[in-house]
Amino acid sequence: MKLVVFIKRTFILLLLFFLFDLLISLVLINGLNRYYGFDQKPSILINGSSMAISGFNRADIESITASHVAAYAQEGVSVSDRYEMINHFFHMFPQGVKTVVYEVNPVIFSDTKSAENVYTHFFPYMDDKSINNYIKENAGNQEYYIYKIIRTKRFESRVIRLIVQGYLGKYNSVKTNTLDTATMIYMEGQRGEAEVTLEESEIEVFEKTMELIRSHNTDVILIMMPMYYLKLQSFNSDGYRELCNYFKDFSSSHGGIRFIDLNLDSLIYNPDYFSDPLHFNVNGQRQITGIIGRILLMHH
Amino acid sequence: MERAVIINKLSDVFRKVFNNDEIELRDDLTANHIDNWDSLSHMILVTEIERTFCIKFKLKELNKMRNVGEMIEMIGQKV
Amino acid sequence: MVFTSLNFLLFFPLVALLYYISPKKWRWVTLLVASFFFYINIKPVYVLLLIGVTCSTYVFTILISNARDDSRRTLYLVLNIILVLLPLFFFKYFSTINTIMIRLLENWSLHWPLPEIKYMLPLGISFYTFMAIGYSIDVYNEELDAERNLGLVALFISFFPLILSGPIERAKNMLPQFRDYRPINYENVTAGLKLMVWGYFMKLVVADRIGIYVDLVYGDISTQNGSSLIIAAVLYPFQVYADLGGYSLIAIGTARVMGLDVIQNFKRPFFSTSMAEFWRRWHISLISWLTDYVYTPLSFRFRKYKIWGIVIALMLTFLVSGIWHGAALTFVIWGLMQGTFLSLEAVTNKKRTSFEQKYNLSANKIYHLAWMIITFVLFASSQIFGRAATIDDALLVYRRILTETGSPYLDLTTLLYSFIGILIILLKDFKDEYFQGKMSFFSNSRAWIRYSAYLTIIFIILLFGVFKGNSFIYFQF
Repeated sequence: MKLVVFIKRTFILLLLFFLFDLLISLVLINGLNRYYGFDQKPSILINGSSMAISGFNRADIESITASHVAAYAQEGVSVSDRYEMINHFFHMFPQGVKTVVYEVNPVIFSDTKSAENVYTHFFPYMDDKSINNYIKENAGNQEYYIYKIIRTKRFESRVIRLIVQGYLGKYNSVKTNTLDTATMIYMEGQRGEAEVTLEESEIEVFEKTMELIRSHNTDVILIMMPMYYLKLQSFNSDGYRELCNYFKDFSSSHGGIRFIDLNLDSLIYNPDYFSDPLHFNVNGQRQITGIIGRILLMHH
Repeated sequence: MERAVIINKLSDVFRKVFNNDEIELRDDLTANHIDNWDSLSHMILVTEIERTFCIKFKLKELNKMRNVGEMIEMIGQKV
Repeated sequence: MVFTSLNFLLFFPLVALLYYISPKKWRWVTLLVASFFFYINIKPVYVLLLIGVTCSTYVFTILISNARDDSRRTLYLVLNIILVLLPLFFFKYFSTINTIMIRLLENWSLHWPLPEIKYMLPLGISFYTFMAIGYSIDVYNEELDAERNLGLVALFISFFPLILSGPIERAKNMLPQFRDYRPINYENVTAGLKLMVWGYFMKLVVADRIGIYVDLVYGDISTQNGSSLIIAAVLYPFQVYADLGGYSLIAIGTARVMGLDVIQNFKRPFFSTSMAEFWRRWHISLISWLTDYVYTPLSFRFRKYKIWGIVIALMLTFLVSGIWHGAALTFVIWGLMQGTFLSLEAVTNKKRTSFEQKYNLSANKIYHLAWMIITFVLFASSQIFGRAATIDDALLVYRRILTETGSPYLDLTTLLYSFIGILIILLKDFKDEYFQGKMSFFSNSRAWIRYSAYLTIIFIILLFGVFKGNSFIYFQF
């Protein structure tokens, strides 16, 4: 083999590589968009963290409300991360939607730091300018450029699973286990111990998010996601009340924003709905999906 | 000792150690060519050769017997 | 920098380029500089050790070559071996022995004067030490003359593709290659790259994926039941194969790109039909080193005891192998188990051969398959001692596997990916074992098949590779 041949072949291989890199990434992003519900113009957006993921079955809500629903939720996201998500969403759909369902929970204003490396979950959407900057801020230089240049690298195996679900149209939870007595006894012993803090910085970002949504002529429904009652009791009751009061005041003083506390629903007493104290199993998901579906139906 | 005699006696040793009457020796024969000839059985082969030819090898010399041809050479030198 | 880091992917093409544009006489210098740069980037201070081992070996091999007197030559050899083994012994075993002494004397209310120390193991020390010792013994045995060029000796010992986890090479094979210069051969470059790609696949897509499950189960054995432990025990040999085997391919491929031939380290080990055959196909460079420098002298010394001499030599050799892997008792037991398996096989060999001849089993595929499975089970069970942190843990694993059942811990995604990965590797090995040269993808004559194969594997690595780990299993040895 001569040098010329070697260079020619290497060049062809590189060309093919970047071509397929682009094609494969397009197929993958298409699947991911289907999973989140970005493939058609949605009328409803659901945003939240792992509790929202476990609670809402996007497809079922679509059938109940007879409209298109996007569910943009990610495990471990902080309020700041969620601002980026909603900002990204409005880049995709600048005309806005009818309603945003924004999930809240007792620790929403406590954790100022997002779970480690949560920014890596947003690599697939790096083409969006604001997501791009968000990642650039969080990632190391080397890391950032690799993901920028090699598009398929943006999709790791965890995301592939979501893409497969997106193409297959399967959104229901696979969790079938329920709470066991040992966990329940443990929670009994934790009564009132968990703090509910309202960090100023987090509240600021939250209010900025609400402004952003309202500026697109969109309503907001703040949903306090239900959790197993013993887990709820493990939170400091004064702190929890303060948090709920904040949301009540905020929603009544701002037009187009509602607050609904689902911890008032009786389902929180049923251990068969929960796979762990904070998250629903497939049965619980059915309940919550039904509830939120009805709320949305009445809201419109 | 004549080379032919060595080869004859050596063939008997090989056939006995590897339990195979069909082994035919050639100069370039190595462990790759015979089933069961590996480092485990090699030492048994060596001991049997020492016994049959009434010679004693040095460790250094083992490395110089990489095929049957070299083996015959080495035996010839010692006998 | 590790093979799987971006730094290496930038470093390596640069080195290859510099290597090829260097004037032929100075090519080895380029490699030497690159190797030291590579090692310094891992931990600068340990380079001193590397230099020390190199100088000692250089000096003593020349002394051995020059000396006429046999006893002098033996003296020089022993001195070099001791000097070179001293740091290995110190870093690897001292803290364990120190701790044992402290505990022992505590029992008798005595005080051991040295404090408990924990040292980091200089990466690669077990490997380059063995290469240096092998070289000295070869000079002593007059297999080759001592190399008078200090730079070449230094390159041999520090050669960057091999230094961290092998394959353990011989001076006789490497020095001539470093000395001679060949014109650039692009077939070598592509062949080497193909080996590297497959190595990266094995390591990133298979080994590290399996590792997720195995680490979790072994990380907290007391909470796992027998079923999970069996799954982990069956997966672990594949993890080691994909990890060390993958690393070896990357190392061999790297050397190949620069036109250098390095010994193959694995030869489809799971197709072995006996433990003896297994050890001819698994970690070949280490076993062949141990065979040539430990087993052969020992079995020669004990040859008058016939089969029992072999048994003793085997047990001692694998004891050394176990200790080489680590200062823990678990590795010692692991080594002794290998020795036991091989000894049993050696002792019963004649019976097995006549049994096979009697029933004409050598052509029987099912018989072969049965033995492959038996061999795998034997190896997998010994690997429990290789993986468990303590002897108690290992015994607990055995106990639970044999007595407990129940539903296993199932991380379906990881298990599915692991299973598919293992299947791909086994299929490729199967193809290489029985259809050598046929149905090749990477070496297919049609360009479109080759290119599709390269691209497919590369994209599989990008999409399904696990990039979180930053080391290889054999770095700890």
